[in-house]
Amino acid sequence: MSWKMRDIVLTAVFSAICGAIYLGWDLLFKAFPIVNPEAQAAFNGLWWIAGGIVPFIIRRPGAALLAEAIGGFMEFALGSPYGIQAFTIGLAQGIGIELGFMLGRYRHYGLGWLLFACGLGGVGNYIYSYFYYGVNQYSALNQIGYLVVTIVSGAVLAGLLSWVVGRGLKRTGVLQNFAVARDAESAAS
Amino acid sequence: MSIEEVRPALDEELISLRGVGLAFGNQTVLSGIDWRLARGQSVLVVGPSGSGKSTWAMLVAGLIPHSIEGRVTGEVWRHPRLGRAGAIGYVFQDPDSQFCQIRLGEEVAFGLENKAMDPAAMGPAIRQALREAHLDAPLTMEHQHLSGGNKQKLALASALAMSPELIILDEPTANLDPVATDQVFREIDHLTDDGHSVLVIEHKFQALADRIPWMILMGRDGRFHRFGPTAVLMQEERQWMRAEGLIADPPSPRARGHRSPAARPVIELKEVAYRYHRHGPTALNGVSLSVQPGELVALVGTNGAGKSTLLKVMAGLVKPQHGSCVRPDTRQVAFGFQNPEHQFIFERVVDELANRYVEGPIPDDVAALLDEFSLGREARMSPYALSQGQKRRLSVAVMVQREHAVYCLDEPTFGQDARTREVIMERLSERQQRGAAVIISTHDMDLVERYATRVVAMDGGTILFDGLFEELMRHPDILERAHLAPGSLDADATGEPAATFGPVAERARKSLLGRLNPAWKLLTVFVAVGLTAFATRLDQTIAVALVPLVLLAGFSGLRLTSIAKRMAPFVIFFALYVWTMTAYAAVGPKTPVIQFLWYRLSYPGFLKGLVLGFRMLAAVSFGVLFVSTIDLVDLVKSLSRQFRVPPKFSYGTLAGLRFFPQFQEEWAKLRLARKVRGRDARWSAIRIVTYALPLLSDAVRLSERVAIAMEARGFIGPVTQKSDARTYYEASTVTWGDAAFGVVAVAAVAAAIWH
Repeated sequence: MSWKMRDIVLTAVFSAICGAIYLGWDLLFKAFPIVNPEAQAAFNGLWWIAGGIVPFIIRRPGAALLAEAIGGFMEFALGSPYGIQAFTIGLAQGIGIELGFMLGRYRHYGLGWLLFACGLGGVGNYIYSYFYYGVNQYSALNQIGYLVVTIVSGAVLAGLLSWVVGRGLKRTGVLQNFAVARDAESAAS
Repeated sequence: MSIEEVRPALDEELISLRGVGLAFGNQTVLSGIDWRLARGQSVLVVGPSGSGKSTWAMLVAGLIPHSIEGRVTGEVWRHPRLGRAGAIGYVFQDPDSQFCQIRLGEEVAFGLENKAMDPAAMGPAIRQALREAHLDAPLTMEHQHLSGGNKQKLALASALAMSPELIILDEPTANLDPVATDQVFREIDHLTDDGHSVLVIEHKFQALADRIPWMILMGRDGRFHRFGPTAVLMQEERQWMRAEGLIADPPSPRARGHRSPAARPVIELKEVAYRYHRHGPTALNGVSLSVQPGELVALVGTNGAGKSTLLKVMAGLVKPQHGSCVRPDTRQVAFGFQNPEHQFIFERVVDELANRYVEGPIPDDVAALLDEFSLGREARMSPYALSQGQKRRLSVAVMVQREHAVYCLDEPTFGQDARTREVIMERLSERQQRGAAVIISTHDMDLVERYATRVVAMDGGTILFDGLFEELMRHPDILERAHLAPGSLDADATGEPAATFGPVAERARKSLLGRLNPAWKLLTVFVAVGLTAFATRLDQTIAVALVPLVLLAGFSGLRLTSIAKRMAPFVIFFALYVWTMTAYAAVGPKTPVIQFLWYRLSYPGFLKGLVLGFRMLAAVSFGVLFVSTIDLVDLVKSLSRQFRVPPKFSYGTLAGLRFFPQFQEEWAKLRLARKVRGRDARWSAIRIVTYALPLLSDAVRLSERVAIAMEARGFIGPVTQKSDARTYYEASTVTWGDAAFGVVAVAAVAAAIWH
């Protein structure tokens, strides 16, 4: 279960690329401001895709949190309009996903668990936004809507997308030396 | 794994292998290897591409199975002296992926840190190692700006700094010009004279044959064909070497295609100048060149002379800032990148060659290509899973499978054995004789003599010579300047000097804020930004935002104009915040609103927007303050030293992040590779998906190679886990200034909120 050097370097490289994607998403989101809370929430999931794809490949405890920390840091360092909050919310999302994989005792990384864990990333996102981005000012109904849509968005945009890309990558054969290649569950799923 | 410790027969023995085999999964790579290496013995390793030479070398070094899992059978014994960090120095094949730091000095220091050398002694040791490797460049230069050849010299310096017992060089000169190659060869002489054991894997082995007394011939089946004295093997095994394509038949004079003088040039450059960065050095300067159909032009010259850049200009990959450039449409140009992976867009070799997804049996024309480039057995494999030599063959096969008017290839024979070189050059020569223009960059003068109709020698971004090979040979002065004559003395120029750190960044690094410890600075910024959540009134948020802005203006070393430039995008976001809240904020029924189109603008909404906007500005300014006054390497080292982050994680992250700029470049190259192959996705949303796989598989390979290279430099065991088990080169210390900054910044934000 312990981290190999290549796991760490891969986490950094992938998360940095995701950080650049987050920044693009930030700018897109800022350029077309949406005020409907639920519509806004539907976009959220992509902001924690690093927390899905990296654990899917390397399968180590802490992978989701580290990936989100690095992704968020890159997003911030590249000039995100959210400033250093891009990093701190990344931690919140990462903790959420991490919790999901922890509940699977770091043994299950199939599609179902990926969707579940990345959905939990949405809970992390919700809690952070509740305090820092004014979600607490929404009506109760909107808050529930925001939470539910964020969870679904995380499951799809972070979880499902990670699964699709991760499996495509596995087919190229380059992941031979990573945990994903040795896992029977993902081969079956 | 069944690795047993067995006693050596001789005390002198460094390594002994008995009946050793290696398999990855169910694929056997090496088998039946019996071999001993005595101290001071040097061995030349020769074999066809894909025979497992690199794999064997990694097994000898212990990187297999430590860094790469593989099933090792038989007995592997290493002398205990080889157990210490850096005892086996390793120079890898790929110059780009064996570094894990950002600047030259730090790179060499990385290995010394792993040996826990006293940081005070590192400076002289680093300079000494760079001198020995003949790399004359400032310690603060970023190595991404080095040319491929100089990167190899840096890798050699990094290995030498650790005073190794055994040095393994895996095709160290594949990317070097003749002069640099000669230097490395001479360096190998010095190493063996000093009693080092050296293992050299080399395709250009004939030049080394009289320098290295022992030789291993490795067969395609992953077994040793023979191990013995070089002189004997060179004589007795000529037949075998020829049969395996390791040596070419004596060059026969060829009928080279001659250009018809009346033909119109396909490419015409006039006074072209190009620089990669606005303040960077000129990569090309006043280059005028025209190429006619039916020519095979060879670009030669030292590493960093501008050959690759010139090829990119001709292919339309980069647009020159000055001069005029007439060339065919990009679709008419086939471009072969130095890295063949850029060429691949499918998931299987056979699909690559057919340029579409192949269902059912392999079409005849594709089968013929597979045969021609000896890729038959790999037809259904992923292109990314091939060996370096196979990838290169595939990329050339892909290029020639469709007719183009112009073929530009950057070092097409890089790291290939004689047979592959021949196959590649014959195919290109065919295209040229059918009327295409072929332009290649190369260091291989033998190849130039045999195939080129014209040779262009470059130095320092300008053309020194343009004409026939025979004519060039009559100009010793040019040969020397272009580093084409082995033995010329002046040879230490580094192509591109350091240029990324402009004066602005340098000022910021030396400023009051720049000298602070980055780890503690990060913590301070965290706390300060965390506090901003408590600022809810307009006066509070304005005051909070002023804190980082004042710090920036006063102590960051940045000029006001450059601060304004950095903050400019956020002013737009600020306006957006204000507008959004003004237009959309929920307001009570009695609040007066202004109806404008379909918006209901309200004053309370406007105020809310200002509050949110200033809070955002505060967070962002603290971010700008942090980012513009830290150095990434220093931050990573500080996180380990001050906050006890295991070096494995901090250094591993740094090694990954340093590739980030490369991926932006990679993206651009991929776009061109797609364009050239006529598969450019129509819109960007699709582009992201089709680009993800090549980009990410590249990322995976890079990660693996870097991780192996780091471990090869002694980054194993306690030095990776305990922050105090290693030393730190040029890492900043913690002073009272850090505490003072923390207290002042946090207190100022608190005062701004609770005043």
